[in-house]
Amino acid sequence: MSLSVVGHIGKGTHTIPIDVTVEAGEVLGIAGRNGVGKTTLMETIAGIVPLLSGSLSFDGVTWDDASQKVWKSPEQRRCAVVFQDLRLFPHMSVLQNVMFGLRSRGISKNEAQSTARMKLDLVSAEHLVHRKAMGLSGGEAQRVALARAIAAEPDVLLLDEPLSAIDAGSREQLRSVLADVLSAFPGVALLVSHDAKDLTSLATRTLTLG
Amino acid sequence: MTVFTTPTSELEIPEPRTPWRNPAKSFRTNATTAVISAVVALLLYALTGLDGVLGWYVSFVIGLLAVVLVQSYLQKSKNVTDRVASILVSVGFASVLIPWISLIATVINRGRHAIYVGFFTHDMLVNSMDEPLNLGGISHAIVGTLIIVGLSTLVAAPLGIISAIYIVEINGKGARAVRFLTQAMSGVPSIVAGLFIYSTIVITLTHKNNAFAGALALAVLMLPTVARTSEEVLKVVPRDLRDSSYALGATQMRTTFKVVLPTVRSGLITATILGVARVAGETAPLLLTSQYFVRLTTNIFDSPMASLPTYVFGALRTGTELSMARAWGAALVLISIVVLLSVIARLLSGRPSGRK
Amino acid sequence: MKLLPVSDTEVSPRILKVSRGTADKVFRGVVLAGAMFSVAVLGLICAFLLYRGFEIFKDFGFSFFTSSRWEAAADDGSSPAHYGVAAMLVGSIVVATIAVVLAVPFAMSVALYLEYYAPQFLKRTLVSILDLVASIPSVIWGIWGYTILMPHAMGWSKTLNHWLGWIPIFKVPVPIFERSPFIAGTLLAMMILPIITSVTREVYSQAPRDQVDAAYGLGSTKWGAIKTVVLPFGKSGLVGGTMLGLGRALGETIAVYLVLNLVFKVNFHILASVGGNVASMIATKFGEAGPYELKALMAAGLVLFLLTLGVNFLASAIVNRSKKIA
Repeated sequence: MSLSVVGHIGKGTHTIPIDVTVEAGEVLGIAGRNGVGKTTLMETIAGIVPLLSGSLSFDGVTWDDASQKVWKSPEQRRCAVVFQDLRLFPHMSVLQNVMFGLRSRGISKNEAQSTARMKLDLVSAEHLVHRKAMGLSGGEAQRVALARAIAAEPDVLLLDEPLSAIDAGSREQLRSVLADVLSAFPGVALLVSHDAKDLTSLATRTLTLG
Repeated sequence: MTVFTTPTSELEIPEPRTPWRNPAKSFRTNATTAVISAVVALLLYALTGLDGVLGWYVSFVIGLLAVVLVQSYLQKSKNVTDRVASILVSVGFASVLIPWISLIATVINRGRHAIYVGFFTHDMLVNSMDEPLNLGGISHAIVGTLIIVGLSTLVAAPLGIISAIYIVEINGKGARAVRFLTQAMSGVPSIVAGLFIYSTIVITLTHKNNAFAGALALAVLMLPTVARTSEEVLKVVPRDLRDSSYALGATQMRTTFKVVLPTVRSGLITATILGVARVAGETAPLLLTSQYFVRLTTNIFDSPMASLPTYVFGALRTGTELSMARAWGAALVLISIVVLLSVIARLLSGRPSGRK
Repeated sequence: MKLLPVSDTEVSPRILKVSRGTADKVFRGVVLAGAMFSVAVLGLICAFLLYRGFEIFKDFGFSFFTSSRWEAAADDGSSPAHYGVAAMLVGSIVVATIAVVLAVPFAMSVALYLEYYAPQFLKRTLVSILDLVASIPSVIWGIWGYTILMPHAMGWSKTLNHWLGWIPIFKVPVPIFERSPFIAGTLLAMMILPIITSVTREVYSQAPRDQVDAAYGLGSTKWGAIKTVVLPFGKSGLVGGTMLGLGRALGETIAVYLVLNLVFKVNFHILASVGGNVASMIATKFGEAGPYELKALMAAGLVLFLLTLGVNFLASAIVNRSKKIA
């Protein structure tokens, strides 16, 4: 299993050339200035932004190809994203948030519930199960977002600045949680960060954009 | 270097002007103007044929304009147009309030005589419109309005929200056309909606006037209100929220039902309530469809059904002093319901959705 | 790992051909069907009224629009039925025009007052009150118009007639001032004011603040800034709002029924107790109509529907355009 992106990505007039292949088990760190297109790369892989040119394929299946006019919608790609601004669903509880991806993939309610609890346990957030997503602290929300992303066992895990919204103290703690999650993760993982320490400790190799 | 100075006593220092704020000093000037105008108005009132409260009002406006013109002339002010314009705008606004206040005051003042406990618990089966006000009531009309409007909400609210989902979420090729047509639909005259339902449902299907037909006629009028308000509401949902749902593998259907709609639940409720308020007082379509019935009934297919607007209309047409009092009483109940609904809708929409 | 050269060519946006899952196809289909059904109602109204009223158009042809007579056949068969909507059409337009002429200046001043003159704390309250007034049922306007407004308006009619009676439209053949087009128009003006105001205000509020500030910077007064920036900017909003109000006024039934004397005669003397409009005529005649007259009423309903629809199409187009510019 490998993910490969060859082509140009971008929104509007700003375009960036990309040529990268990531194997399963790897954690590709992505560094670069602000506004260089790190987030756009994530969104392109997830299927929120289309490629401008070139193609994007995973495990031999083309997800997006500008010349062949192929484009798979997000729910057809087995991706999961931890957004920089997290984007937890405010009207749902923590458990419902984590179950969301599982239920989207057609998993029964009971099974989704037990899996969700397990994943919350993995990020040491099981005590938050019945809280509303609205009232969580930065660190708590970050854990829930991580649990939500890995819950459905995606093939591709996209982490956009997963440690940015946290104060220094809990940052160390969460970094080790993240390291555990990533080392156990069987698929392709991409990690965007502007912090060199994150990249050296979590990523297997690093691509610098721009 | 020489600095030229002017003694401040000779120079009128202009106050810094904040746009759209009147300088504080102008209050005294305004008060003086108002007092002089009142005196002029008194003279006008005494000398011309104007009478009543409205006469007072008109002479005050004329007096005010005259005084301002004279003042501006005496002060050689260049801002005459500005002052006259602000008076005309304020007077225009104030004049509009007069009928509103009069209408509300009249409905309350005249309507309260008809209201007693039995007014809400009796129907008109054994009483006529012209009997004393302690007999009979409007329970049948209240229940009728609840049933008819409730039924029409069941039809119009889902369709209106679906239209809005089509316009905002699906945003297909027809979205602009659907949007334009729902807009145009909000201008369908209410009597035409009544004629339409009469010609389709009553003539061909039920062969009788009934509440079901009335509800459908109101649904035609309610749908565009719900659709347009829901559209505004859905547009407020941030794109990010949808993207994050897609990125977790949700289909569009799941995204719509589990993420978008729950986020704007209170907004959609507001849209529905506004739709209800829009049609609750409609009379003309009901005269053609559900008509009026003296008795409290819950049968929506086999008999006509009373409603508050048709009760008001019927009592008004009877035209005696007692029936007029009943009409005002029912009008008071009707207007209270409509205003209450509108207030609830606005309170709900005032709170940002998804946050508590 | 190598990087591609930065592309120099303009990249045009792609048109995505999305393949969707079955669930989504069904979902989109259902929503599309619902939306189509909702707007199809407009077509259905047109189709059914045409179907029911077709015989009338066939029997009377163009004279349905030019004749003012509305007579059922005599029971003894001595005179045939005759139906024409000319007087009612003219009446609708006369009453609606009076309403618009009276309402527009006031709507403008309310919109300007709310947007530029009202103290900030009052503005929100006033806007809510305006919305509340917009939801007052027409039967209540009607009963108020009949009992409270009419006596006053008759006084104004007399004054108008006394001073301006030499102008044809203010002439009164018989000195009866009750239930005249003028009174109906005045009442309608009050009823349509909220909608004109809210559309106009919305457009006025989008007037470019920097230009307003620029006008101030050049020493303009408040009115000067409004006249040079806000009014020209909001012109199409005012026109669109007015058209919406006109549409409402053309279709109003119950209030007109109560304050306008239904006479089948083309009448331009707005103070005289002679008039009518299509909508209130339908409400009046509906209860006692036989099968043939019912068809005539359906035909009249179709005429009214098309008239208001035309006005509303135009209004929506103008309002949408003014919002797009804004």
